[in-house]
Amino acid sequence: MTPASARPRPNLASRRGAGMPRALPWESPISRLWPGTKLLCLTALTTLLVTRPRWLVIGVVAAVYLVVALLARVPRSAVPRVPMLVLSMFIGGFIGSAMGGDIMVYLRFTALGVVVLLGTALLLWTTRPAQLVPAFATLLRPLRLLRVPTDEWAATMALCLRGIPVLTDEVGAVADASRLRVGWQQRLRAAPEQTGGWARTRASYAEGLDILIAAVSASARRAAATGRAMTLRGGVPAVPRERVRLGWGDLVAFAGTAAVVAGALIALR
Amino acid sequence: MTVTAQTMTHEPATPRRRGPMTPVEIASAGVMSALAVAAKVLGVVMPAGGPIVAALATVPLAVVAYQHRFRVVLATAAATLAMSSVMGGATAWITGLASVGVGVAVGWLHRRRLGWPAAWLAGLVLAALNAVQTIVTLLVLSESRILSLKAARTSAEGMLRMLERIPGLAPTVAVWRDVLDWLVQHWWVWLGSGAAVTQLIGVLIAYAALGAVIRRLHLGPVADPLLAALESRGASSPGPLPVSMRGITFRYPGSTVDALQGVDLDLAPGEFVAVVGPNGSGKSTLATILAGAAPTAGTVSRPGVAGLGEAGGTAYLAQRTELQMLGDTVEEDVRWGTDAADEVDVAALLEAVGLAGLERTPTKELSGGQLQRLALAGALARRPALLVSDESTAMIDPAGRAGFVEVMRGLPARLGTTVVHITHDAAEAAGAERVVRIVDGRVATDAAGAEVAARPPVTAATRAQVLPSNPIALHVEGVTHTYALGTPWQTTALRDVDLDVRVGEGVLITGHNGSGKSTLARILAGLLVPTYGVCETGGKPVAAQVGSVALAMQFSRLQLRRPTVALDILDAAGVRWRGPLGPEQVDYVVSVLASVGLPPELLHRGIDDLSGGQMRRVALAGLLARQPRVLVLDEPFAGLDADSRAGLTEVLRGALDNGLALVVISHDTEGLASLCGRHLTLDQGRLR
Repeated sequence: MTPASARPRPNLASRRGAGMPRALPWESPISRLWPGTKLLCLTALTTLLVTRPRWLVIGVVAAVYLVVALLARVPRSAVPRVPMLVLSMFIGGFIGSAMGGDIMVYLRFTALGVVVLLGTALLLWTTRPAQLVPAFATLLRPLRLLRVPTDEWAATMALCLRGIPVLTDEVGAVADASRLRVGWQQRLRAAPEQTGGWARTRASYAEGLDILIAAVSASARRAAATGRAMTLRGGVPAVPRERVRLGWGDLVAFAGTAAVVAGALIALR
Repeated sequence: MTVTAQTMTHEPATPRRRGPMTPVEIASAGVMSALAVAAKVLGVVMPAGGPIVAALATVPLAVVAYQHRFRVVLATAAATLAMSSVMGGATAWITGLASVGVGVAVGWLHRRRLGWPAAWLAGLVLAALNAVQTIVTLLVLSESRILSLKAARTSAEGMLRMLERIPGLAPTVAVWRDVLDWLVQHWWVWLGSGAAVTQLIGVLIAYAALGAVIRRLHLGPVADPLLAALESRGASSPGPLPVSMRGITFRYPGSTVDALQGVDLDLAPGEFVAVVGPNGSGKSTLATILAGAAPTAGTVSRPGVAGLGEAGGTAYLAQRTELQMLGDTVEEDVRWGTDAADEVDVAALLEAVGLAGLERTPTKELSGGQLQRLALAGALARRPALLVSDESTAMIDPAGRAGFVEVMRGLPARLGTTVVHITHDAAEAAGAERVVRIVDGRVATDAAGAEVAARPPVTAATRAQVLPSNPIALHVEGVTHTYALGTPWQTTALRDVDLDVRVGEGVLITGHNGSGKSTLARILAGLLVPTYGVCETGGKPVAAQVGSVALAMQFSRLQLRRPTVALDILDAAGVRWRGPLGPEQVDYVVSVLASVGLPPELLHRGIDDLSGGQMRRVALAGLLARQPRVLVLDEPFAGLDADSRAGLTEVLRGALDNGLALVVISHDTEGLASLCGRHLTLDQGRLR
């Protein structure tokens, strides 16, 4: 392949950068942790953040997250691009608060939002969805004491996970088909007949409904066929089970989280 | 044969079921929650505004709540919440719970056939609950609430100070400042009522949307005649053979005619029986009775139960192969549903069906014929005494079909399994020990198989090379496409693709799944702008004129948007018609239908009442109605039987003669030589 430098610049649409965080294609000490560990620690730290959004807490949690990001070797190119709208809202708010006199409150609020999102992103960067399903099943198991059918839930989640790529493709295809037609119609349209806001809302509802019905129809057929195939082949799918093996990493993660939470609560007493 | 269509009843009258979820329920829960998550992940690329999208995303759950019992709804909700947080992060949880409430309530309202007053009432109750939930959450998270209100107050204060400097505005600003202070102090008033109004609107939109879904799709509880047979699994030991059927009559619920009338049939172990007959003659119904469905009248006597899917019982092969696979790899699929304790010799099974050595191959890379062989291997893993093949060869290409029938024919001698092969292809019945002919729900003949003259091979002349003087319709040069460029997930799907398609020319592009086929199709149609290179028609990039290159998708249902055939064809042609059709419109649609060989009776047919082959032709009719310069077809023959293939080929040949340029993307070459004079292969993103 030609080296990138010798190539012409890629078109604009391809230079959008990263989208939603997803699992990085390499292993790291963080990706080897039990996913349940990450879920529990993330829940604890997020809860601490939103209940005690002080500078001390935000700073300490941000430091922990940065260490985790280094261990997971998250590159800068994996960070989602901030949409223009969000960026301009931030700048507008910043200027306003600078004039309004209490800039630190505004910065603390922004920092809180960024750190909460960073925590979620770290989980998604270091965990494959397929690993999370058995972890959910394990974490939900205590609910069985309340006669909650968690095995069925886990089986449903596994099936859901398998279906997501296919259905994402299908929903995308419906949207594509719609674009192909709308594109055509825009060229044909001699006079814009619907210009009012309400009429436009109605039209977009009708449009959305057509897309939704096509997607539901395709999914309903798929569900019926899958159900039949499963019954013909011996019934309900096996429940995804994992043997939870906690290593040193998990111990460190739990201890670190506990230390941060306890320390913050004592310091802020 | 469309078994599912026949067996769907239109009114939601499920008997209340108890106990663990059945496979059908789990499948429904899993697929619908996946749809809800997929819609959320994509942010649903529709031109509608925020609240509409949010409300429509609750509909998959509402569909489950309409069709199924509460236990299934709960599993769907749990899976949707868990998976959307996995895909979309913690923020999905915050809106998730409220939307679960909307979905469950709306499905329940329709299930109980409650009208708009009830929908308003439910909406108001849910709105109040959402308001209370919002306020309580914010009370608990008091520090975050105070912080965010303060931050907003400070930013607004800055803006107000700027405005104050403008002469004459000072008194107005003072009023605004008072309003702002009031809003900050009484946050619960507007945040609570805002949450309530959003929820109410959501319920009303979702209620209307689910109503439309139900009207158009006839969603009802699926009454599969095999369900009873499946539920008795393990009750008593399987012993499907020898079977003796006397005076069997079967009528589908809600139907007015008998699918089978007084059928007598005996089967012994170790037979190969071909069942033939025209479409709709009751062959598939006979298959379901053999597989253990209870007849409406008559007696079926066997030594034990049919034992569907059980070891030593009955195995059943259906028509659609791509929907039968359950594992990600070949080995996983064969083992699916067997206990770890069962000794399954996967290698030997694969050898027997002609898939030796493919254990590790992902199932999505198999062709239609290979998938059906895989389904057979999965069935044989249970050493069935009876194998019922319900038109299992209808959708395989002829080369694959002959080999597959050969494998089935060897089973009686090899394993002692009796094979009942249902087909509408007389050639496949030739040479069977016994041929049963079904006509109008009755056994017409039951005799030793005669040598039926094999169908003469279709002599499709290869299409001649198109004159190089024809103008170029589609020009692709140096196209390289990389997804997620510059991120850790960067993958290159296409490399340096060059392609020129001339007017009246057909080009066939074959390649395995994952070779970049769908990326190429999307670029050719202008739906995707390639990272490097150009894709042009008429001297302008296709992406700047989306719609000028038509794209026929593999799964046609996804392309049809309007409720009926006539409305969809008008919509495709650029007319969004409402109300009854005028004679002009009727004439137009009838002529378009005729152009793809469809009869005028289909004019007012509902889209979801069409067969697979009809859907594909209606979608094609809509595309051709715009007279595109270039038509891209993605797997045009997948899932079509021989007759539909022939009809479609005819239509496309006519379009080529009229100067259309054709690009066919397919994984097999079957029947395409007569359309495409040029054959290229796509391999790891390179076109040769």
